[in-house]
Amino acid sequence: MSDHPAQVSITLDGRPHSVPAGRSLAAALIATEHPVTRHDRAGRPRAPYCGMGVCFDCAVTVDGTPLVRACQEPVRAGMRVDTGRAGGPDPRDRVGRSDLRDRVGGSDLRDDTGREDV
Amino acid sequence: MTTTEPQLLIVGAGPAGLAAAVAAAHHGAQVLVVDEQARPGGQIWRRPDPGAGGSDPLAGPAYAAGRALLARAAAHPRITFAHDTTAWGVFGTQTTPDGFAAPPGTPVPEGPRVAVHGPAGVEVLLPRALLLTAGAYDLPVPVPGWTLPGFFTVGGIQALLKGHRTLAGRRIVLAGAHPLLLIAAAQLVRAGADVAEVAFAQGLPHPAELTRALAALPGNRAKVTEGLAALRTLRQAGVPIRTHTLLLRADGEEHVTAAVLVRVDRDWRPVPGTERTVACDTVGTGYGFVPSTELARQAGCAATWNGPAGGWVLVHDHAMRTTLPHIWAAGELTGIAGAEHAVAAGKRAALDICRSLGILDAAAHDQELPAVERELAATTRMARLLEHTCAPDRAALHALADDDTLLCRCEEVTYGQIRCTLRENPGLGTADAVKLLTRAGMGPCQGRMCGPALVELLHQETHIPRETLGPFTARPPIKPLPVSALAEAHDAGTHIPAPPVDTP
Repeated sequence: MSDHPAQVSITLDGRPHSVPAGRSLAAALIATEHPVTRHDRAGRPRAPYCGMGVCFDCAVTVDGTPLVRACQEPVRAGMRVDTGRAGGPDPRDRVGRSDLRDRVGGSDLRDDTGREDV
Repeated sequence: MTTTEPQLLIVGAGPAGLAAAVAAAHHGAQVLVVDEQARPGGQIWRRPDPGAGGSDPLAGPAYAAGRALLARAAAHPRITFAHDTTAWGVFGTQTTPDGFAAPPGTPVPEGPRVAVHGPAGVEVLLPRALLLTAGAYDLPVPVPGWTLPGFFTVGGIQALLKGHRTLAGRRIVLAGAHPLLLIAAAQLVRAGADVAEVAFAQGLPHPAELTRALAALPGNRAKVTEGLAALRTLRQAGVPIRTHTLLLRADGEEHVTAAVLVRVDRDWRPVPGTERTVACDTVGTGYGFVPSTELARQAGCAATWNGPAGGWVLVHDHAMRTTLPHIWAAGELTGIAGAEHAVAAGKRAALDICRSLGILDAAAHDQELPAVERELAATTRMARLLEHTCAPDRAALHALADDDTLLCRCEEVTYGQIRCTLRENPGLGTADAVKLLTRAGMGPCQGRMCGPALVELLHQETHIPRETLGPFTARPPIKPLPVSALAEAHDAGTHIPAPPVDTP
């Protein structure tokens, strides 16, 4: 686009990235050609689809909070974004598995999807 | 947690909500508008963060009405906006079998209790009147490759551009059936994108349809002018606009690298041997919209199936009353009809709401009514025309998915898995039943993405009427919510059920 927006620095999967300010996190990631917000269970890359807060395909973990929709979240300097790529928390982990594991003393929790025993 | 008692609570700050807010506040109502977005305007009047600089995407003549309404709403002393706020449940409207009603003997307050979640946490609002104007989202159409990065709905591409000054990609193919594709394509071209092609499934209008279009013109000049301006922009940029063309699939491994298009007949059936591959990094589909009826249906408002108007739409009367007392609905929730119609419907609802709140007397109401009714009639003519010429052919779109295509993006359930489940359980007759067996619809989007496609799949496989198959039951919270927020609402004694407790 014609205007050259100011840049802010964020941490994406543990690595520093400079992204354009004044827009959503999803837009900032797309503008810097890092559109992938998660990988699904089959390992397929996923990225923003609906762009308006409905599909949750852009859900990432922001500063430890899971299931944050990147398309609804303004990009902020210093924000820590995890897509689950670098061993970080899975943004779609609905029961906050990693938190639970800490709380119950590292016991072996089953995958919340329960897929394997269907 | 706090409790607020606005006279009128409006859920959704798009055209219908804004028009209603301004009209009701003008008559003296105290209005609170809650909206999920950071700024009012809904999807169509979306604007970037004003601090980000750059030109205003609503600068053109097509958005003059929107600009004026946004300015009036922002300046009105009786209108308050709660932005970044999700209305996630309506309680106290009825007794439900799933434990969400007040305990027996509890006095039900006058009007619904509306639970919202925003920057300040959970709040329960006790409005005397509730107007639902939640709008719509693009109809998701599963095709092979639709989960690839770079595959968007056209509304998503437009939101990136209008709200965030971001081009979704460099070389873009748009495909579908809705005229929004032309508007979006022209906006993309003006912003510097390379639009490789705009493909429409239907053909050019027949002479009879053109006659009908002329009859719908009065009162809708701005809309037609906008369409013609978009066509001019696309012609000048040399963007090919093809009719009788469907998007078969998107190709790519890590990202979209091509769109595969095919020529179709008048019934949207692919013509063998006419496939072509167009290199691109981005695909956007626009086959129409789905009304966001979840909150209304969760509250208990009756909905009915109307395929050409978007699927399930809310039952309402001439004054925009739903089937529940104290609850009105306007805009796309009552059937997809566009922003101009939503503005008129919002005004119509506001008149009735103010009358029932006792702040507008019969004489003033009757004096304002004819102009609002004329506006409603004119915009309804245009909406019916678009419905007639652009409604998605659900059966033809359904045929684009193969057994390996993901139906449910969240839970990763394929068309093949659903078909297998149907073979093993021939008695399945509702979308809810299939959800329980397959997990389709159980993910964070709560079935908004797969719901319409699942109903079509079930309809095609079982021949059960669509109106019998669905929709998925809407339950609170209608958007994902931290469990702590549910606990907060319950502890406040609002008869909102406690979250499930895990016994060690």
